[in-house]
Amino acid sequence: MRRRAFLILLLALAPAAGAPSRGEDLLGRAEVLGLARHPTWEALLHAGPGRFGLGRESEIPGGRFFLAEEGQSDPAAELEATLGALLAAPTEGDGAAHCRFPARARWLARELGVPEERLAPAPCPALDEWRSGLAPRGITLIFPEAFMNNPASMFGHTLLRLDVADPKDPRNLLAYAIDFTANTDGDAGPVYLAKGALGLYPGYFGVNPYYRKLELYGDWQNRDIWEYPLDLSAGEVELVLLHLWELDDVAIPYYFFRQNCSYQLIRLLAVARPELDLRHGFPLGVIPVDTVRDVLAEIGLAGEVRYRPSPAAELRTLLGTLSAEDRRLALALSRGEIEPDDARVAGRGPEERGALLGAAYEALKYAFLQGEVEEDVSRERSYRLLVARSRAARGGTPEVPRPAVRPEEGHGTALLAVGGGVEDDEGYVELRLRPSLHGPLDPEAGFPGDSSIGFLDTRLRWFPESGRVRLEELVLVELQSNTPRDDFFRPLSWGLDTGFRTRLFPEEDGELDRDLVWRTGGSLGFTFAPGRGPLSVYALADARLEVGSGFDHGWAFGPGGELGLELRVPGDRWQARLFGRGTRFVLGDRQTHLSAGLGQRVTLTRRTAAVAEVGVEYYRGESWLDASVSLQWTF
Amino acid sequence: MIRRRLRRLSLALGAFAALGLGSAPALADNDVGCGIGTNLMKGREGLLYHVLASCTNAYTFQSVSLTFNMFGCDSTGKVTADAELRKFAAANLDQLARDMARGEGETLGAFAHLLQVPAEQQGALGAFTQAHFVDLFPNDAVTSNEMIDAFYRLLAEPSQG
Repeated sequence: MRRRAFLILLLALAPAAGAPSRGEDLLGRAEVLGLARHPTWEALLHAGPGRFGLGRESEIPGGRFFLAEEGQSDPAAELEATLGALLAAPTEGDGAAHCRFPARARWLARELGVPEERLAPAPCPALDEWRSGLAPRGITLIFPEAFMNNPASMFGHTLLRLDVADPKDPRNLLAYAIDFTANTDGDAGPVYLAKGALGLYPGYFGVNPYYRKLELYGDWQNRDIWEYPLDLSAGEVELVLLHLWELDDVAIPYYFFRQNCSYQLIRLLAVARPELDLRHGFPLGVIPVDTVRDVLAEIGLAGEVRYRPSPAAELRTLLGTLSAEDRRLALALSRGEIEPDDARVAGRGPEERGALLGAAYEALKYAFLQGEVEEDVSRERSYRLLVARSRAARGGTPEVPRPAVRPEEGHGTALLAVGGGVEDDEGYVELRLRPSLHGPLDPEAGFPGDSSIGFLDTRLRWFPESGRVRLEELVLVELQSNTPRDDFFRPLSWGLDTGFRTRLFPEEDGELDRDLVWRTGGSLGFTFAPGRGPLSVYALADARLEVGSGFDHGWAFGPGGELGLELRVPGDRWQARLFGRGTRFVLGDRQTHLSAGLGQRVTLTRRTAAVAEVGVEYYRGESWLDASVSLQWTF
Repeated sequence: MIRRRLRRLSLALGAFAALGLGSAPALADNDVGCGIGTNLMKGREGLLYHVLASCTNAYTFQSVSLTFNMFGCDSTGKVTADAELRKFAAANLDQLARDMARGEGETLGAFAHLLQVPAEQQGALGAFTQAHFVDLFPNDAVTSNEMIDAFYRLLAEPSQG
């Protein structure tokens, strides 16, 4: 070790004697330059701090990705082996070291100041063909948002597109998209969950036509899609592409929460921009929208962000441009209640007919994808509508208005809140942490409205009078979707939640006893928002199971219901949510539990808000009040 | 006026067909689409998938390799323009039919690019497909390959009048 340091010193002192020609010289220079610890080298190896922060280690398990035996845990040894392989007697063809590791070869040549031919002496036919087929002009980050009425999809997804034309050009439908997917071999349920959390699935980078991805995320799943053209130079794009080649068929362990697809795309882009790092969101997970923020902060935009509305958003716009009468006609056409040759349709001018038939066709397609129409019925009716549409005016498709706030401009994915309040007659200070993602009382901007999802929402209460500290609530997961219904979109509202909560149990003497219970429930109902205005009302029927030592028999189960009203004005700066709910526990500890509350939020800045909540509860003949105010910050 | 533009378009497309691509046999690929209104299969899965599976490989067409799923290739592995066109049309038949009927749209734009129609002729292509929709789709069970063959036949016909 000491000899090596001495050698480095010697080399550093020696005058740079022209272009080094021997392998040892290049290796020496690499050591002097500290290339093995260079962020780009670490990015090329997917290396970072090792276990317990000791040493450096790659996230890619050993194997064909490394040339050195100990390459996974020793970036310097891998560098030595790479240089050695690149400088060895030149081999021809795709198996040569520079054809397997073209990004390493290019970067090393640049850093060592030698011509690229020195490290990459012969052509690589397979690589060259692949590159010329892709021929990217730029890279666009693609973010499919959540889809309607499914809060479970709210985390979104990310992929990269290798643009073949200007970001807005339709030719980009033919471009290829890069994503990272885990191969789950069809596992499902708990097996799938456990293996995914433990990193037991291998993930691979893949390249597929972008239109396939649009079909999946846009047409099938009805997600709005955002496209962010990235400000990368041609050289940086090239390096990313060459590194992608190095990852062909390389298995990388996939973890749901952190080392997931969005994380791996960040790692891929880091080859071009080693400073790119995960800075947004809660550190233990990687949420796609946070990686959009990270990428935009480090790389930036090369042009306008494009909003690609989902078919549902298009349909909503199409129906919105029609008069009430025409809307009914369009829906009647889509349901086959009237035919395109109906006098009320055929008698119209070509433009109006085009709008009617276009809306009818989209409505039918939507209904088919929702499983409401049989395949043969859909095929036959679609055809008749399109034939009639082809005889109406050309064009005239309305543009879908773009949401005012983009997803990455919304509130942060993690929330921290500090507040104080009164429970029954005792004051408390409360600390709340919610690692992700979006609650019913959060600002909607940048999020698909009407849906919320929370993970590990934790509240701790400290009662200064008695000095007690109590876990008030630990919500493991909570989903709620309150998508309003109208004459065409008729989603059911629904919710699911499970977690722990401290419950107050009135004793014989009127005192309130406190016990932690595990509770879980599900709800189903309707939401209406007249004219899609600021006010919405919902009604849900639910069933709940609660388990805890405070209950007689240790548990309680029963049906219940909830009614609520929500108001957001102006521009969502202020929100109020009023609710009343009741559960009649009919099994286990048979009791009635009633509660009502009012929550209000005032948005202060993009990241901060003030929240005031007041609620009353009734249980076992006693009732009590809980009121609090808090300040919350998202990051 | 329109007619003249259509004729110019026909000439441009005729050149494409004359390269022999128009008569290329259909691919051995079974992926030929299955009629309007059904091409978009349901891609719906269970709830759990959406909670945690934003990036697992739940769809059969996704490859686990970088090169496996790329390009329409003939038996020698060479990409042909006609193969790309057919592959694209098969995968986008519904959107293409919709755009052809209304004479505009992004899918039709990409289709036009695969046909090497210059940008300024794309409006004319829209008018052409809209006017000939019934010729391109004579019934509701037309496959994408039949539609493309009909398209090539229409181009080969002399413009009427």
